[in-house]
Amino acid sequence: MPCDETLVATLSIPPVMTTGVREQFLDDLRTSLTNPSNTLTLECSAVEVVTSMHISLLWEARRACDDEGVALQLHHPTGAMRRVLRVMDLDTFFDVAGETESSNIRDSLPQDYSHGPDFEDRIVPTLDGVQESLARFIMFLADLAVTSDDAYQLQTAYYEIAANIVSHGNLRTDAMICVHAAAAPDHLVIEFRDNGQPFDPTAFRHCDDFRAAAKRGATRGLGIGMVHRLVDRMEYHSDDDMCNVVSITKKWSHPNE
Amino acid sequence: MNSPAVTERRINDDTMMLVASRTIETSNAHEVFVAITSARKQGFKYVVVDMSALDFISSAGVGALLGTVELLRADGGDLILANIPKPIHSVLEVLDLAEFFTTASSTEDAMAITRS
Repeated sequence: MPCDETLVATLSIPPVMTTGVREQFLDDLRTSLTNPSNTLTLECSAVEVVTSMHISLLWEARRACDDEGVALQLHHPTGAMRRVLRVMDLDTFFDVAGETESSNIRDSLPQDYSHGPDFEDRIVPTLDGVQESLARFIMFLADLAVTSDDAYQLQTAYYEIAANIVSHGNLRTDAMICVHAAAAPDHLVIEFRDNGQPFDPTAFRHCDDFRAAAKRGATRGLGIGMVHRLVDRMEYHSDDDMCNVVSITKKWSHPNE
Repeated sequence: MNSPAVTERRINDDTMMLVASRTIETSNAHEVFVAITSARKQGFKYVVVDMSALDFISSAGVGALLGTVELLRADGGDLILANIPKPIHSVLEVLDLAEFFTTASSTEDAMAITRS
């Protein structure tokens, strides 16, 4: 029997995401998909600060809807969420409906991110902490109007350096990695400071032959070599407080060039 | 519980497809390595990695691909990367790997490569 009736279920994306909140949302999602509906809408208007867990949740919802043959729509995504989706090349992957009240992206920036060409962050020294910081850095990049390729390469370099410090810096659990990024018209400088074991990544410039790595069957130790390839300059020094300071510089092209 | 880094789909006796999740990084890259080497041990000559959903791959993920591609080639097969998102492709270009890996613009094209 043909049925053209549109049956819509609605869930709200939680603004603050924790493991417990995430599990509750996934339970609600499964319940919604067991009821007859051919469209699921996710209300996104409350999400001002987008974390990797939010993006992960959208993916899970998309996958679950695909499995059930249910269309998924994101309703009223905030400017911050739109920027993250755009930078991650996901803006065409999700069906987005409804504008937020502010049509000016800069106006809709969370207050923490309305700081012009500078970015400051403190990373909890865990891989989850790196992912959380990376999500904030992606939002910062989105406001700089760099090409998606440059943005992705910067985000990769950011992840690799931070993850390297977390994995090999032997930081105390209460320590933090401090990041400062300063944007100029044609380049970005990012500085990472930590109090972990001294490590000079510039000494590993030669480790960037990835085809040779494949011949060796190498699976690890590629991160710093990757950063050398992705950025224009990498420097290291230890300051007076025995703090490791790694800075990277990447020139960029603007999308309209 | 996190989603698996890749989901396996047996295509035929020669080919295993691995559908990548959205992120492959330090914490889950080993799953990719294990999935590819396991497919090889099961006798699959070709492993196709469908990257259409992938939005971030770290050096650990690239390492999982680099550490297995020559093993498959030594057996007369190959590792084929399909549907590589443009920003990720740009990184492979910078790393001089875009032409090192066998790539395909779709899973159908990847399957055609396995039959050629």
